[in-house]
Amino acid sequence: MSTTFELTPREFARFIWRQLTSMRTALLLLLLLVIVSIPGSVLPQQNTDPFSVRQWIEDSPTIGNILLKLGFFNVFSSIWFSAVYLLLLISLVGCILPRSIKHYQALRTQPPVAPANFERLNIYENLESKIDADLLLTEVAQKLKQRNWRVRLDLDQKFVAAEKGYFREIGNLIFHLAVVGIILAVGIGVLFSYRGQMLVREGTAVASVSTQFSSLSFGTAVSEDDLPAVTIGLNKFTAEFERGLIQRGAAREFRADVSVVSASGNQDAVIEVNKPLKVDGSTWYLVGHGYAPRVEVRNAANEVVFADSVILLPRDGSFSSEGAIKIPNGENGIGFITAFLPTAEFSGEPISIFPSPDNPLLLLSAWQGDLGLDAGVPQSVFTLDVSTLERVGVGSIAPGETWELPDGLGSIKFVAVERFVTFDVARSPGGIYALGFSILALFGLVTGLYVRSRRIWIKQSAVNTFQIGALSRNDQPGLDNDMKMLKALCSAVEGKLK
Amino acid sequence: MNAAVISNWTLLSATIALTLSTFIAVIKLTGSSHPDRFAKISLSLTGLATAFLVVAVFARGIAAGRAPWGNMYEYAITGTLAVLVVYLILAIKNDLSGIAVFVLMPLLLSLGLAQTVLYIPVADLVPALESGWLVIHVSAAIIAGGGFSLGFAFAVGQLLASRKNSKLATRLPSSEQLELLSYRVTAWGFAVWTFSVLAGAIWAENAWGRFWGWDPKETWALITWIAYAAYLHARVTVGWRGGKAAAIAIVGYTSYLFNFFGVNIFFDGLHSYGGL
Ligand code: HEM
Repeated sequence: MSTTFELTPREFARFIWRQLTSMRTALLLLLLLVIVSIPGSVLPQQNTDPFSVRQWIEDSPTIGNILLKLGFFNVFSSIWFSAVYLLLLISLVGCILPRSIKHYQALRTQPPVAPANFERLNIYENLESKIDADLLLTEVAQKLKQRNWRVRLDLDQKFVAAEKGYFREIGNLIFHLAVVGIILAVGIGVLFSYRGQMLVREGTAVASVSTQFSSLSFGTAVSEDDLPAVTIGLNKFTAEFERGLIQRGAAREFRADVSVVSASGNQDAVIEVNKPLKVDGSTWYLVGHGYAPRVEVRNAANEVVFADSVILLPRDGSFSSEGAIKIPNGENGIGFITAFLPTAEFSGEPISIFPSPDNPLLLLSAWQGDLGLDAGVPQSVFTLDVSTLERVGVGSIAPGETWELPDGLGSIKFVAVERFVTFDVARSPGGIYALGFSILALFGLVTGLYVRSRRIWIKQSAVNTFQIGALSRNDQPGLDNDMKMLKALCSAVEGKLK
Repeated sequence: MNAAVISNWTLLSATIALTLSTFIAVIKLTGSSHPDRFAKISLSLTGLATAFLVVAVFARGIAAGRAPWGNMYEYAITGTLAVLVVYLILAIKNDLSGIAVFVLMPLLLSLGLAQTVLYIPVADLVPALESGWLVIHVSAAIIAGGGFSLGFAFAVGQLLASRKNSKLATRLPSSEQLELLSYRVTAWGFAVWTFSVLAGAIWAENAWGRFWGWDPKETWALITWIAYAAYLHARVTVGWRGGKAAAIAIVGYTSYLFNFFGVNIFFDGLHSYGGL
């Protein structure tokens, strides 16, 4: 069975293309992009908050795993999100290129002839004048040219047509092309970017080699070899918090004093929250900080077996921090689950009430046994797996104090309060191009929105009678000014020729 | 008397002036024997409220020793001011008295919310906000919001005015007139919003090392931007002009508001310093 509606593949392709590049499709795709972006802000995302994603899936594993498979925890790199914006990109290119060509051609042709019926224009008016039509039209055309109108003078049909504001369309085209540019710059830039995070304790230094990062990811086109050889030592970290009653405890100042060793030379520098450090193509941002109490652990024979600062992870706004200290020694290993309270207060459970170390206290729970570190199974350094351990006891110590473990197992001394900071180390080369295109887009947008695109005509309709009229695109205001201008021109010409 | 106290008192005065203005605009809309006089009085009172609000916002800035854009209370009063200023500029050339109620009522609500729910005393900024970009990025966002808010009020008016057999519709300006006004302020807001998002991206690169990171606030800023881009396209698409375009403008405004309130309240991101 065949119908008259059957299409050849070629016709079909053309039909699809025309559909895809139509304004209605662009509109629907834009609305669709809004809809598919929403889950990306409602659900936690793997690239910004992997911890919450894991939590989410643990809390509701069935739905969680389905959502995970469908890419809902990675919306902005999911297939369906990419599909929508790629379609939009194609639609955009397919829409803009033909329009650019058409506009280019329009710029090289004359303004259109005067309409047969001026009543269809936005504004029109009749004008009486006893002056010879050819003279008047020629003079008016001349004057309009001087005012940068594109002018068409037709003495056979007795009219002048003039056009102005073609930068509107150019601006619009620049805007859309720049949007294409932004999308490409972002997409390609990702290939050449890397981003990692490191924790640095006061008084120590780190080098930008992959083993020193706590997390590190590369774009497809770069690898470890592209990391610059930079070593950064954290000399001192200063943190100030609000002490007044309003917003008490809110952050007020963070400042890291660092020494930098790099291929381009050595320097001392300061890194603050809004003031990153740029070295050899990489940028170092201060993104977080916390406490790393310095402790000294002795064994039963009173020999020092551990003396270092220990990074603890902040758990709340008052910087109650948690972590673990592990001293493996076969069957006789010792481990501590550790909590640190910068300003300890006892009202029931001990809690911290202020982020600065006003009344620092280290809470410890000691465990003995095989810590399992030799088994080669990777463990988090911040938690202690106590399933195979035996509990020794709990204690709490302030700086300078020592806790003697029960049964003569040894002791632990809280030597001093020290801090660590978290640096993000990144290179994102696409950004600067995207920025350039964005500025271009903004320029094009303003031009496209605010340049008034309009046409005016003056035509002899009868002896001693002229019609003048004007037409604007997109109902833009200001046509009456053009009409006034045209009338003023006519009377000026009249005055001159009298 | 210190600046903080001046700010609070002038804000109260602005609210009173705006309440009277709204009241009179309602009388005008529901039919009075001297509509023109009522329109004029209402507009003058709106001007007075704006003047008070200018003082309130400035005094707040002086009291805090910085631009008054550090928390939601401050966003709300500055945002209200932005809407009022755009409104008054527009009112110079256009007769807006028929639609004034739709603008004034939400503003009154905003000032009321600011003084009751959102109020917090003057305080310093968190370090993440201490940057010249705060002034540029946030002020642009607030000014754009002024355009979007008016565009929204006009779009709602447009939908009401286009209803047939409605008594209200006969008292409002024509739906075509309202659509054009709505389009103009919205397009203007869109341009400023574009600038604000751009400045925000530069600031983010400065502060966090990336122009864009799909933080909830950033995501919703983009959603708002795309929604309004869709609105601009709808207005030039056959079959979408008029009511449907107005509906998209309302969607855009909803997402703008959600970015302002919802994201601060529901999400935990780098931008969570609303002060709630
Ligand atoms: C990422 C996708 C897009 C974005 C963000 C976007 C954004 C915009 C914006 C903001 C405007 C108004 C600004 C101005 O007039 O200069 C506009 C206008 C316009 N867009 Fe797009 N656009 C997109 C895709 C498209 C596509 C695919 C088409 C083709 C169907 C298209 C066709 C147009 C046209 C014809 C106008 C002019 C409307 C007028 O006469 O005012 N756009 N676009």
